Amino acid sequence: MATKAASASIKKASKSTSVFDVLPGWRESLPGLLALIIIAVFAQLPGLAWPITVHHLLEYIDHVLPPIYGKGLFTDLLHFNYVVICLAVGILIRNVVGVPKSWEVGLSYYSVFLHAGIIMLGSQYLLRDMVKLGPVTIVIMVVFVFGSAAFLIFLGRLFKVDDSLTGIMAAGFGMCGVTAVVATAPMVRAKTEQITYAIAVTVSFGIFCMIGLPYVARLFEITQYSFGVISATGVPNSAQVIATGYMLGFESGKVAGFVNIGRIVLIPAGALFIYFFTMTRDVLASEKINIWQTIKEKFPVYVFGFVVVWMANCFHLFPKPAVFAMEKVMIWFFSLSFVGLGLQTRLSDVRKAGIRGAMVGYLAGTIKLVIAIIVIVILMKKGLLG
Amino acid sequence: MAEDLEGKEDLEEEREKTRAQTEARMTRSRMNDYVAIILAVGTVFLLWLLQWMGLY
Repeated sequence: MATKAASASIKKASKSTSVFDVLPGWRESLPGLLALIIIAVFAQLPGLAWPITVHHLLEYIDHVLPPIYGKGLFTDLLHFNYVVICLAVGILIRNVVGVPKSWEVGLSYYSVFLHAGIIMLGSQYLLRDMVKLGPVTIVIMVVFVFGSAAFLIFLGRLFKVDDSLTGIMAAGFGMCGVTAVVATAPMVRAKTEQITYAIAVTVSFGIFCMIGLPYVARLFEITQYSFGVISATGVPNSAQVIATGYMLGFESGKVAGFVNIGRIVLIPAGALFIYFFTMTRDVLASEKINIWQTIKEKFPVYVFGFVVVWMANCFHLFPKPAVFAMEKVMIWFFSLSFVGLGLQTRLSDVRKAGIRGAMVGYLAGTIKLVIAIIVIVILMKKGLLG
Repeated sequence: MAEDLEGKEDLEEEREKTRAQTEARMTRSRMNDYVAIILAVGTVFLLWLLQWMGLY
């Protein structure tokens, strides 16, 4: 009897941990997914001939309003392109009107669209683009990932922030935000509320980056290519990296997405680096961590999808018209993810982040960003970056 | 002594809770990755096929 009960509980447990069970059902997801699509269509989906959009409305307002220094307020001065519009509409709906509960499940798919867009980015690159990206960008990426993680750990110790919180914030700011925080949390023994806190700090920092960085780029006349590298180096979350890149232009968005792949690939190594630097000697001695297992567990598998599409493009398997069509669909995927990102952005997160930990995170993030801008602008002026 | 033991148990419980929560998030994130691969590679294949068939 006892054996039967035990086997039943094991069966139940194994059933409850099936990977397919973690995906929400189609019916629960539909309202949120439909909301994403409808809002994106009304915000602006580039290439779609739909007349009633926020973009057209802003163009009309610019047409009606008297020009400022001969330029339109929204389109020329504030540079409201489809990325800004999708994000702004999402943020407005979430923080002013509110999001119905029935949408929440479907909205959690926004990262699927983001990753699908990144995979399709492979169709826009050839081998020569990888060569153009060159060792300089790769070195910048590696140095900034490990350097900023080490710097944040140093600041955390200086300001006496808890080791676990410091560890996950180092992951968030050093690598790619939320994913890196979640991947590193169990290794540095972070508590649930610390994870929420670290996510709030990295996401709120990313919001400031998205708003401010494109203006910095225009002020210092940073090229689209270099801005793409700056976005991928200084902005914490992948979705925010790509949104920031596309805010300046298509080329910078493409570069940001491509360079960000390098940062994503570094998650397992970064998580191990942070683990060895934040945990005390006692903990390191008592725990034997399996490095290969950790790498396998933390590696983001969608990078393989990108590699497959990119390789196919390198072998010229896609004719030109197909590549153009893929570019359009890629932008649609990104637009859906930007609307989702906006709808998931709670401005109250900035308030929720509290003082000391947020101060360490913002300080490290800002210093990293300023150094990244200086280094990349110098390299750009010397002709080492495009 | 008893308080120490209780504190340790609480800490272990908290850790277990966090571990379960992060594991669930990681599994969801991995599933999202698989769905993204299917969606993107499927779209790429479909667009290539439609072009090959001369539909655009």
